This record gives sequence, structure tokens and C-alpha cells, in this order.
Amino acid sequence: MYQPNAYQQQQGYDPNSYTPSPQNQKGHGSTFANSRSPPPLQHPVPQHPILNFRADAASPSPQMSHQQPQGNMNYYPQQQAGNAYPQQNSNIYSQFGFNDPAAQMGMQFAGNAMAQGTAYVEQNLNRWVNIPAVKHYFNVNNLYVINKMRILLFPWRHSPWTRMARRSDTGQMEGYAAPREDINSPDLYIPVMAFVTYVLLCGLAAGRKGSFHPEVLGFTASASLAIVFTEVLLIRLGVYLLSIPSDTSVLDLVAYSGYKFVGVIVTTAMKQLGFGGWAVYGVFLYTALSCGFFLLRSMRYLALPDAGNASTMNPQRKRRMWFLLMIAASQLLFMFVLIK
Amino acid sequence: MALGLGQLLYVLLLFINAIAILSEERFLGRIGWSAQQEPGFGDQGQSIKYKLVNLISAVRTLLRIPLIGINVLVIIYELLLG
Repeated sequence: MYQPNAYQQQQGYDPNSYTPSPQNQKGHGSTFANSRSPPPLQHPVPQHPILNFRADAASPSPQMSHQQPQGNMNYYPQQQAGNAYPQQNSNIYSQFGFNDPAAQMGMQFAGNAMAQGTAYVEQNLNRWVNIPAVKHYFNVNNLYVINKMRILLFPWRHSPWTRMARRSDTGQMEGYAAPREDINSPDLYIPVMAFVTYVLLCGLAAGRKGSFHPEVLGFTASASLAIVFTEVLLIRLGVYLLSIPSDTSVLDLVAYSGYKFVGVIVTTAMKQLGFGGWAVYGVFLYTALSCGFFLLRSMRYLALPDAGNASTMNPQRKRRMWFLLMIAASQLLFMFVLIK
Repeated sequence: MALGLGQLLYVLLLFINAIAILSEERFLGRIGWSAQQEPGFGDQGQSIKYKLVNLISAVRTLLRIPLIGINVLVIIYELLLG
């Protein structure tokens, strides 16, 4: 912020080039920063040089040069003389001395209003969206993200697919472990980032074809969101119809549905890098198959929660297996639509 | 690729409309999908058909009045801006 020492040092600077309306750009900027900064920062600013500054800054000057504050050079002797200063001072006060507390009050009022608005939004948001539940899905670290991407693209050798349960002190299960601790836990970080990247990549592809328009981004985002919603709806419907006793949240399904964007991004990037048609289709088939395999393994606990004693209810188990396989196979279709 | 969120909304709305206008005694009862037929089966509660029948009857009873408002809104929107 503003430092009066630096100001004093600058007073002896180039006294010859005095202009009737001097302009100190540095001081100018700092006063503006002052008026925009939160109110508590404004209080300790020393009044005296600030007044000078405002007078200087307020007088409209055609010279916005880098000449340093010569006006105060003249100002200072005037103060010593004591003659012209009170006049100027009253003038300054009439212009700015009144303005300053008003500006502070306004800033404080605005700050209060902002805080209240934020609190209101948060309160209302908490009513509709379970913020801690969403935060759980973004609790990731670098290692998790890298490992998860590796699993998404090469899921064949990954061996344990079960999610770790988080247990309370008494040993009771209370939800699943966060993605930071458990590699098999679904997160929302990778899907969201992959979604944004996919939308931007589509914009890039359109730009390279010369047909970019800002609406392209909107269309792509809307279409891919529609695909995710459709998939989540179909899975929920299937879970209901097969009467699978699952307590998975919708966010889990959104996460699993969003993982396919990673494979889609790889394929689209291959296409953009100028590989031939067969290579692109090969990569597409590979990524779709790996994504399907990933979902097959990681949604197994969703579709077959009672895997231990499932041999007793054979037809239903078979049906659920088919349901799981259909989810995995639908990835091929959805990814094909997304790549187009 | 032209299927966006708005189109998805329309598809859902039309599907729910289609479910809601299925007549109980003229159509559902004749093919044996009426909701009142099997109240007391033990194993029946697990079958897909029972679930579907339950879903249809739930949609018919629960969503009838909101559907009127939503349809009116969509029709006005389409007339003015479509």
C-alpha cells in the first residue's frame, strides 16, 4: 500500500520540472487501490499526504508522464509558510475530506451486503445441494489422479476393485473412503476436468476446420451433459426395475458416467493430431473397451451388492449381470456419439 | 449430435406424457397391467413387470397435475419463441 517514506524521498526529485497540475502516476495508482481495497485497510493511511495526493490526482491533467511528484515540492514550503495551506486545505476538505468517510461507509456497506449475499447463497445452496457430499468427491491428490487415469486407460491388470469402507470407531461402516485414500473410489474431479477439456477440444477441432463459433462450445457442453444425464437416468431406471438394493448416490453414477470423457479426449486428440482413420478407430475401440471394462469391474458392487450369497438367486443374478454388461456396452455407443 | 439438454427435456416430458395418458380400464386392464390386480403376491414384488406396473401407476397418479402446468408452460414457450 501507500508508504509516506517513499513519498518523502521523492520530494527532492527533479524540482525544475514543476507543472501546475502535476500527476504522480504511482501515487495515483495507489490512491485508486486504496479506494478499492476493503475498508479496514483504508484506516491507517496517513491523512496529510493523502490529501495532497487526492488534490493532485483530482485536478485533470493532460500530462500523464512518468515525472515524479514535483507538486509536493512546492507544496511543502507553502505549508511551512502557513499562509496558503489553510485555504488549500479547506478547499481539499470540501472536495475530498467529506468524500472519504462516505466512501468508507459505502465500502463497508458494500462489504456487508456482499457477505450477507454470500451467506444467503451458501445457505440456499446447502438446502438443495449437499455440499459436504460433493466435497467428498473432490478430495483428491496428484497421485490419485495419475493412478486413476492410468487405470482408466489400462484397466486390464488392476487387481483389487473393491472400495474401501470408512469405519467409525465402533467398527460400523459410515460411507466410503475419500478418493485421496482409496484408488477405487469414484471422484468428480477427473470427470469435470475431462468434460471441460472435451468441450474445449471440440472447440479447437471446429476452429481447425474453420467453422468455430462460440455456440459450438455451448452445443457440445449441452449434448455431452445430455448424454451423461441420459446414462444416469437409464442406470437409475435399471436399478429400480431390477430391484437392486443399492445405496449408491446419483453423484457416484455421474462420476462413473463422466469417466468416459477421458477415453473420448484421447481419441479426439488422436484425430486432431492427424492420424489416419484406422488408427483413430483402433484407439476408439481400445478406449471404449477399456472404459467398459473399467465400469464392468468398478460398478460390480453396485449391480451385485450381494455377491457372496448370490448363487441362491440365480435368474436374478443373471439378469443383473446382463444389466451390468449392457452398461459397459453402452459406453461404446455413447463414446461413439461423443466422438462424432 | 443435435440432441442437447433441451431436447432431452422434451423427450422426457413427452415420455411422461405418454405414460400419463395410458387409460386404466381401456388399455392397462385389458393387457393385465392394472395396478390393482396383484396386491398380495409374495414373490411378485420383485418382478420387473410388477415394478413397471407400479411405476406407471405412480406416474399416473402423482404427475398428472404437475404435467398440466409443465405442458402449458412448454406450449406457451413454443408458441412465443419456438
